Amino acid sequence: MKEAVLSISGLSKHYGPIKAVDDLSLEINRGEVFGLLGPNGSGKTTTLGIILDVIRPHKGSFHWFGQTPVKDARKRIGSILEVPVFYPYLSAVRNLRIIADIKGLPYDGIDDTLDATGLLDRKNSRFRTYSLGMKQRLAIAAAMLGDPEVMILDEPTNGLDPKGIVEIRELVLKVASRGTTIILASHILDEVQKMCSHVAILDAGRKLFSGRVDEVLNDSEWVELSAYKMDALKLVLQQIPDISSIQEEDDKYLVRLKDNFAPADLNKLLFEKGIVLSHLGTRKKSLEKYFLELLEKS
Amino acid sequence: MKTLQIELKKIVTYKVFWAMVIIYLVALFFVFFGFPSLVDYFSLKSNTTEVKLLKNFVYNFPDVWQNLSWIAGLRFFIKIFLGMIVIILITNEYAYGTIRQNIISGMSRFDFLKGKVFLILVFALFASLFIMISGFILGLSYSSNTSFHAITSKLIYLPGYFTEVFTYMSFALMLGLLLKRTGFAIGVLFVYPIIEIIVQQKMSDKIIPFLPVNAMNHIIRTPNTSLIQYSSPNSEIDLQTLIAGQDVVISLVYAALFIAISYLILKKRDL
Repeated sequence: MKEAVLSISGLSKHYGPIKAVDDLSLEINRGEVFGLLGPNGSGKTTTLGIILDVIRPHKGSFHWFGQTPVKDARKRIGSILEVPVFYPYLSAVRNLRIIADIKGLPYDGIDDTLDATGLLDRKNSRFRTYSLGMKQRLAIAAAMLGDPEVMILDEPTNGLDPKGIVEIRELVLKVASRGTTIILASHILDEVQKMCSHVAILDAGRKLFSGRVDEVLNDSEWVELSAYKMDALKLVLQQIPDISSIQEEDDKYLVRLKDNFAPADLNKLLFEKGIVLSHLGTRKKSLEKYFLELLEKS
Repeated sequence: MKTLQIELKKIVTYKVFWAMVIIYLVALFFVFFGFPSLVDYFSLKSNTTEVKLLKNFVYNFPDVWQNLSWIAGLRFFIKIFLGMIVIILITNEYAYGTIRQNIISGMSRFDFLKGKVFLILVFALFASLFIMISGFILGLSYSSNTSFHAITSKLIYLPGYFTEVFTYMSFALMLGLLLKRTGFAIGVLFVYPIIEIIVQQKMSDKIIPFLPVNAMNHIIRTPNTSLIQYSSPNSEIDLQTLIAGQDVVISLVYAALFIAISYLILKKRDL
């Protein structure tokens, strides 16, 4: 059963002539690890800012937890937005206590989250004295506080070293495995591909695509073809009903086949039609390729 | 109360805040308690009775309440520290981005403002309390009259001061929220009262008392000591003898206005 945690409809926000978010609609269901993928300036943070009530949209609406309005919805959401933000002169513990107070949580979960993010031995140090990586981990600790129903993470591995990146990814996946819905904004494809179950690709505030990550990948098994008579090949390909799309690339055609129609079937059919292939190969498209393609088209 | 607790936790280990509180208290302490020694120093040089009697008159019950709260409330004097503290606590929230994080974590904008207003109330309370304690110590040391009636008859100046300083800090709160930048907001806090003085040269006398800083300072507009009656009994200087209810109301209307504007700014603005 799908249960919408967040639904966004027709959201728009512009800064002067620049459209930061442009008629964006999305639905995020319980238990998903939802990636918002897009280059810098594609409207990810603005979108998160709007759904967290710190940025006022010009148009559109959003609903948390299927109802509207939900009082105190944000208390059920753990979030980081852009850079880690805390009172610099307060210790990690004191900073987290303030967040616990705002959310109406007891303090006894604080040490656990600090432990999970590897900050327990520095819990009494002032935030100001933290390194960038520690700040980022404290932000994630704050977002995890009280085991919220939803976690919103905006570029969570920003500023971390490779070891830190792996640690944070594992942590997020562990949280996700408990059924927490996670919304992750990132410009790093690899991150989305490794962590997310669903993805929406944004560019210039518009949604280019949204769906399951594995669907993007599965759907993208392409067959590369080339023949001596490329024109004839094209004509024949266009007439085959089991081909869902054809693209030209350099001296090759890339075709996508419908289910139950294997590359071998295609080869046989082409041969029967008098086309001898000089090259036949399959290639799995990475999300990256798909992403770049979408960006180029838009 | 929860919102106030959160506000207090934000400042508990904030050194800049405590340093400014100490500077404020020490400055006020020196003015209040240093004055008698200054008078003694000058009375050695001049032998006039007025100077010799000055400290006894200034700190005489019940005038001590009016005199101390007048000094503490002077618009270009120590009170500015309180305004600066308020501004720093507000603009810090913008500079650090913590206002945004507070809202994201689930605090409403209204609660954010409520916390700051409660904090101002606490500051105003402590500032008034400091005057009260100082007044008792100085009055009991120097006043010739320590009857219960003398001590209590002008105590109304303490809530008067409380109202004034609360309005003043509401003004600082609004400046901080509106301007976001510490230096800019403190600059305006300094310059605005000067602008008011310049502007009022061209205004009709009827409007002048209604200008915001005039209005709040009008609650306790002059000191009063029996020294003046003693030295020039036929003086025509208009000395305030009582707090006018009208002044308190105008000041509170301004405080409400500043807080309402602060709320509108918070509500409309992207954080």
